[in-house]
Amino acid sequence: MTQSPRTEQSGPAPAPRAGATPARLADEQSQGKTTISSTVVQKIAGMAAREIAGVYTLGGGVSRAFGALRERIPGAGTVSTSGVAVEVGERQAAVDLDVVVEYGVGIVELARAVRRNVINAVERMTGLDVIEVNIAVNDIHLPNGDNEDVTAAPRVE
Amino acid sequence: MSAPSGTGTNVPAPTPRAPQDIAAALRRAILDHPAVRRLDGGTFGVIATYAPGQRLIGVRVIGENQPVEIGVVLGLDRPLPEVADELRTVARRVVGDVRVDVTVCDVTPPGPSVRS
Repeated sequence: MTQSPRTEQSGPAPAPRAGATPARLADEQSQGKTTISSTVVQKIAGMAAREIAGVYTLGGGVSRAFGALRERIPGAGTVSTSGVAVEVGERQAAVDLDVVVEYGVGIVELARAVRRNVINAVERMTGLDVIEVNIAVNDIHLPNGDNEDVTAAPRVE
Repeated sequence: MSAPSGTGTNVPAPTPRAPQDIAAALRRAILDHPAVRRLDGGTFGVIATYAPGQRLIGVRVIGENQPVEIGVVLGLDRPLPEVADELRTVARRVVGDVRVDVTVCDVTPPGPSVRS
């Protein structure tokens, strides 16, 4: 009704830009926005998961079978991203991991460590808020498997 | 013939640079940044500048004083938003006060900066 240029706005009061929002990605600053592609999040999550001792490999079951096939298709993902699925929004990301663990680790503890490392890495590197990391342990790697390297010490001297 | 004086410093209107010239300068500036491994065209190679006889991948420049877009592959040594902000600053030094959208298309593992 009256001219109150910008002190009054119709509708609810604008929520203050919370300082807690971790993502500075979709900055609505006029200088432009920063987009981080999902491949990037996938790679970071994959590397962070592999860093944990006790993770034998990522992938498993169907995703490993497809991953082996997919590696041969150019531009269709790499070995480091098989077993990692991500959903990336403007500010948040969700990660699903398929993990093959080594025999002899506490899986619950391992999963906790993987989750913590993935969240840390993704949040720190991309600024995205990781809302969940789902870990599926698909397989366990036994130390005397057929693909064990032959450099192990002989059993008898 | 000469411009009327008295209107402050009379900067001669710069001849507008061609998009491909801006794009080439932008490419050089971006590639100079130590965290940038290479430029990338994005999902379907859409981040590119088209010019007679060439296609400059990784920078999209429409013209002078128009928003630009950059696609980069970064090393994973530092937080990406931080690097993206630096790239935006670098780019604005070249293209002026325009909107600069930065897309991180891919990353490479941390380590020595080996440009492929």
